[in-house]
Amino acid sequence: MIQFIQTHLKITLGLALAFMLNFSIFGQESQTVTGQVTTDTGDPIPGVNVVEEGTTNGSITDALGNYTITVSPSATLTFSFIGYLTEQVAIGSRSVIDITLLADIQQLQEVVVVGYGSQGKRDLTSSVATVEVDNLKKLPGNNIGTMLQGQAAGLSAVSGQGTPGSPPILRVRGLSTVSGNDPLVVVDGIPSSLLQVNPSDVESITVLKDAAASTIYGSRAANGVILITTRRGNKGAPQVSVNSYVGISNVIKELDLANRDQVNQIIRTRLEADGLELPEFISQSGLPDTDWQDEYFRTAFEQKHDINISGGSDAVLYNFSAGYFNQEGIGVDTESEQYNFRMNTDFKISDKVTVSQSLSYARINRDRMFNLNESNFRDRNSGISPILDLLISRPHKPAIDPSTPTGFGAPSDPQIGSGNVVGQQVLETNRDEDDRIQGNLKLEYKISDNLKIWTQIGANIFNDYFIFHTPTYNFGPQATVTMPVLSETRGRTSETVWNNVIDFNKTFGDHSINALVGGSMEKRIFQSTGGSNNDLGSDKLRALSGGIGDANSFGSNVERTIQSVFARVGYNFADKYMVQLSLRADGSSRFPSGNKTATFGSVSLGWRLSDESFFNVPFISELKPRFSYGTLGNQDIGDFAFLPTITSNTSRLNYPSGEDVLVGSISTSIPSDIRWETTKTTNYGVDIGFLEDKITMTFEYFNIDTEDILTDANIPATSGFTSGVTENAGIMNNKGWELAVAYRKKTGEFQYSVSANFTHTKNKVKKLGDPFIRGNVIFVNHPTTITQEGGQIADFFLFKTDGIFQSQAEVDAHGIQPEASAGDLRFVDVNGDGELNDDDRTLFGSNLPNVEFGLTFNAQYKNFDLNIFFQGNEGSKMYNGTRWILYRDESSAELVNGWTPSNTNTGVFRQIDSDPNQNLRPSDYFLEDASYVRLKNVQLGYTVPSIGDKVSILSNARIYIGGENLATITGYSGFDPSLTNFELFGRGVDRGFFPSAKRYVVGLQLAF
Amino acid sequence: MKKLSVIILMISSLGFYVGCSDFLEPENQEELTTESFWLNEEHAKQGIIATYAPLQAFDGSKWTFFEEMYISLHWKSDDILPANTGYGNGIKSFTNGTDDVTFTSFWRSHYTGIFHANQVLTFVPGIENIDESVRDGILGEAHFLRAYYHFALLNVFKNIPLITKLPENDDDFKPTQATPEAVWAQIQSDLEEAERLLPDENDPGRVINTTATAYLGKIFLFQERFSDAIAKFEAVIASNKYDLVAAYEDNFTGLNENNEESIFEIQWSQDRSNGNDERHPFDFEVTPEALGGWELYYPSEWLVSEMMTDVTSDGDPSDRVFGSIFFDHPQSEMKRTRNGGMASYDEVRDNLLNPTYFKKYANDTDDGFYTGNNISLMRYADLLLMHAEALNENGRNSEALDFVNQVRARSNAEALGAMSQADLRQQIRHHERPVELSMEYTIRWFDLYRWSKSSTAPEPISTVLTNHQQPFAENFVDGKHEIFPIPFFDISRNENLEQNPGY
Repeated sequence: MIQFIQTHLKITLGLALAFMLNFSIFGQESQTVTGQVTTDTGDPIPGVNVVEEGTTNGSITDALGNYTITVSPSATLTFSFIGYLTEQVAIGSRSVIDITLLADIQQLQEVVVVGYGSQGKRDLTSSVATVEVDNLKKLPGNNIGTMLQGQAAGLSAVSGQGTPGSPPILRVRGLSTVSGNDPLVVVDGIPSSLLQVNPSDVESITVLKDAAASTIYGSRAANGVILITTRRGNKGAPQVSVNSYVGISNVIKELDLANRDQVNQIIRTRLEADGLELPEFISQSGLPDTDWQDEYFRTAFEQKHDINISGGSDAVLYNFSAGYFNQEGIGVDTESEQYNFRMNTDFKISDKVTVSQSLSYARINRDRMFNLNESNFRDRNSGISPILDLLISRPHKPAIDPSTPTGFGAPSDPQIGSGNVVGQQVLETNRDEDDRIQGNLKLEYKISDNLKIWTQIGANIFNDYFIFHTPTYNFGPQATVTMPVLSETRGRTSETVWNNVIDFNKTFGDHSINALVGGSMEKRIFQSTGGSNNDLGSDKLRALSGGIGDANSFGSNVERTIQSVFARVGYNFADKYMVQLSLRADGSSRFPSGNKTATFGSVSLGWRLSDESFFNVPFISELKPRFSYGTLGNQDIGDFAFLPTITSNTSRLNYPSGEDVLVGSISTSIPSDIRWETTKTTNYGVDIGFLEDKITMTFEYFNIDTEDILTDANIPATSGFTSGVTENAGIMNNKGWELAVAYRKKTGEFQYSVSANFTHTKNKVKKLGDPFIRGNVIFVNHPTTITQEGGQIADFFLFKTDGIFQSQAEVDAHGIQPEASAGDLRFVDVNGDGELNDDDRTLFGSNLPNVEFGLTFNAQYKNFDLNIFFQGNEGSKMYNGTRWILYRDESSAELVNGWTPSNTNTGVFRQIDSDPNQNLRPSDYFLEDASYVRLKNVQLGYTVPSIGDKVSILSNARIYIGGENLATITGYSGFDPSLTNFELFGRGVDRGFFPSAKRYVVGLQLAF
Repeated sequence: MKKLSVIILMISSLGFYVGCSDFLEPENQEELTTESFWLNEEHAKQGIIATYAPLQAFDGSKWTFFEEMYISLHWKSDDILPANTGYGNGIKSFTNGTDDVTFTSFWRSHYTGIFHANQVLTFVPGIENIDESVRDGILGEAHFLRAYYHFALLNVFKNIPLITKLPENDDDFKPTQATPEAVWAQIQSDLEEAERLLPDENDPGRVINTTATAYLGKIFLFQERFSDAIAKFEAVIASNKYDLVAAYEDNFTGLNENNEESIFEIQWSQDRSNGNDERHPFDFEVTPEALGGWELYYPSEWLVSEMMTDVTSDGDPSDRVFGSIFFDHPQSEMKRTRNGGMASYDEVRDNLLNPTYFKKYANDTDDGFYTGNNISLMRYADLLLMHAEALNENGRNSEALDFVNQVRARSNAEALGAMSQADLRQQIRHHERPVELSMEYTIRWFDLYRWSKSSTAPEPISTVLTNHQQPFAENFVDGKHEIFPIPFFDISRNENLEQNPGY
């Protein structure tokens, strides 16, 4: 008997191009069956797989639960859908079969991905947060990291310093160490990174927060673990979906900078106050009045297109996706572009053997913002971010000047200041082109119903390429390139992982046991090669072979390894009493012999109180208190940090003899006996459901003690060390609470849900050698924070101001500021010793907010759906280093309002060039409240009803419009209160963050 | 049974993870360690080269050298007028706090040099595979450099930790301050050891025995041990290794580096091969904007007026005036940056923002950026003037005058006639030394500082600055601003340090 086959292969490219290939081979007569699948309450169930038993022939229900399938006579149909009991129906002679699927109570409970496996959410005893991926996917963009902001209690995500494509800073449960605080990211079981995962491909995101959940990842789990799984195929005919959007973005706000005349006035006031000679340009007529923010920022376009094809049979399940993303930066000539491909398949070789595979490829191209400090060739010592260079550019020079060879303007008088931030950005190339391949292959063998073993090999292969090129230009002193320069670097990262796990599961009577034992080996090799030439001979050349100047080559070669065994046992009695034990032993190449290995363990307990017969609170449908305790490790330090290495052949050690440059080599540090940093976490949690779980709530309190904190020792300069020494320096405590609340209303035509999460963390340094005084605004200058015993990480450490002296009499009365005059800031003699000096710096709290929150509102009415997302914090502070620099460099429009004897009703101190009172010293004058509430995202969608009737190839169509960062309520005067510094001790110091963007998108989702 | 054996196999395979220990020992293929270094002569040589390197700055950056280390001392001196650029504002107006990067980098660089010297002194004696004379020479250089770095720190911060070994424990990392007397004693013993060990000849720029002798003379002069100083200076003169170069300008153009006048100079190079960059930006810093420079500072008006009195027998400005400054004179000329050819003063007069400019180190020999011209720390002319000063202070003013006139004669400046001790002292302090050595690294400020402490003829710096009409002289507090504060960088990390008075 020839089997009846029908294949629909629908390939869709882009929005405009769609075609259908449809062929059928008819062997015998066939029969068409239609019907509707509903719940027992009569609600339609979309997405149900309808498969002809014993074949690959299948269909899927549409939004109204309707299906159509053509089958051979006397076939049997299988209806299956996650969370429902599978039904099998012999069709007989019927052509219409309506069916009701019953909820599978066992399965309906959410399944949560955990380390090396998954667990029912009801059975969880540890602290695990799941991200609502549907909400996440309503955010525009291609960067999962930044999209996680406000999505889960206990997880904080901020977009770093905000430059286009810059990696976000992720923190699970605040700060528990002064060494690395980055969580471990695991993609499909393999430690990896978020950057190259297309958000459209994500199936689930789980955040492991306490030791009980993350001990299984032992060594690197101290800062939490983010587990990501990508979409895999479902049984049935190929399902094709396309999702596209286009959008525009703009800078979120512009700062109030002084224009030309205001700058002239400020400079005049300052210099005259000192009796100094005035520069010519401030009185010169005919100079431009350039608004550099207007010249630099632009309306940027972005687009993202994704296609996904999935399906499968009993033997093979597949999911294929491809994506394209292109985003212009809001600053001129910056762009990020990404191509993604992913193929995930599962092969059921036999009843016992399954082979699964994931393979993804991403190409990431990035045109970065030029960075004056980055290049070896024009090592201008500005020490400040490029965005600050923009903000302090004098209006007196032109951005554009068609009469120059480059088309960009140069200052007419060098005293105006060199450079053309716009011109340099456009002329220079700072481009990354990275190929990133991630893959894994997993073989699972089911020994019996209770026992399976699996082995998995995974790899991350990153081939990164960076090119820096600058043609010749002349934007005045220190901003002139006389010879075209080219530098290229190729890096290759190869990370390989081998996991082996034995997994045992058995239920007998009221007892249920699950256990796993496993091992893992990881190796990472990074090698790079680079070359440069400081004279390419011509601006037209872009190859090092064209170099006629001095050539240079460089490269690196580093290897590190981790080797581990781990085990987990869970026991559950009567679905009411739960206990879980985990253990992991790790060895790391980053520590010296004898200190390489460490063992971490955890225990967690749960009690479903609400299932006890004595529990009888009518409105509480679930009540489950939980407790966990465990240890975790941290090894986030450099490779070979324990070795007293010799530095050789660098500019700081080489020294000429006559014209010859001789090689210098010497040790820049001494050996150290470092060992693992250990974290002990205690977690108290409770899950509560009210009113048949219409309202769910999870509250957790945690306490994390970190010991033997690995840190760069804070060594006085008298040692002569120029690079740090890693040591186990301190003890910290980090505690806090998290609350997640959700309300769902799901009846009638108007359905909605509200979910909110709140996080509070507070850290305290209990022991730390010497304080870290950092948060420098420029170079190693102008420190603003201190991290010391008894305090928090990066407490602001500043002079305290008390208004402005209104008269010399007030200055004299104050007594401790002999250099001050009327109009200067009054500083407080905090220690009361009658002198004003460094001992009067005092603490002002840290950047860490009291509460961070996210609030999501989802609603559906008929064919409309709405998603609104608010996010923010309360109690955060920021040292506005940007404002400080704008003040220092006569660039803030506020300075026009400086104190003078005739303008005393002002908050701005007097303007004098020599600043004898040091009004610009690090003080609370520049410390601002950075609390904010932001309308982070809005998306309004409309699903076209019965689209299949109008366009036969479509099964579903939805259009939407959305906006991001639409409104922010904050007292912070800088660009963006939500950004923070990469440097831990510089947290909350705004050193010229790249501002965020306001985005508007319109998109289309189609299913075929 | 089959199942059981699979399980046993799996569990025993886990033992593989524990057993395979080589897996956790990848080799460091990028760098040597102290164990694989210090094995031969080449290593010793690389180590001593790395000990010279912090003369340029601890991080090897030309900007750290100029904008931080150089500015920290020279923005305060009376021979320089900083332009209004914002660089070193707190320094020039004596309003700096304790966290200013300028002197912090001076501090860091010199202690980095000391650390490197101590490594050489610790490890080089144990090297087996080395020629003994090479070993002695390198140890001598390390002693010399350790002495030099301490000497510079002592004259900038006064109350400094004395570091003579590698740090091993917490106390070593948090040293206390030594008395200036103890530091002087260590400097002297290091220099004497250097004098004993160093060879007669060395590679260009590397020190020899008479370099140590010359510095012994200098430190004795600084301690007002005039007879000891005279003995050392005489020994240097008698060695016949040094002479004044015929053309004053040759000391600064980069065309005749490490010449017979050079006793010790910081080496810089134009060589850019293999990624090297050992250049400094003085060419741009001093050159007028009209000639392509950035003109960050000028000769002070007082210095210029002093120079205008330094004349030949014909009444023309002496050679050293022409070699030091670009000024309103028909014969004054200066090179445009990036080898752009000479410009006469008359040619560009209308475009100049200031009437006079320095031209030392400004000579650009290629069309690239920056310059590799060496910067001298001690010239033979300086030594002769120090010798003259020591002789004069010892009451031997007529002998002193001969040395002063020897230096003047090289520049065709008219010989001076006989003078009283006090007059010659003033002549040396406020004419000969500033006119001969203007803007040369560390010289003028160290002079002002030591004269302010002089037991015979103290001159408060506030008085000198006021007399020489320096802006912000009124902000100078005697007893405070002679020295910098101990940098906040270290005060905040080492509670054993005591802040200098007034800060």
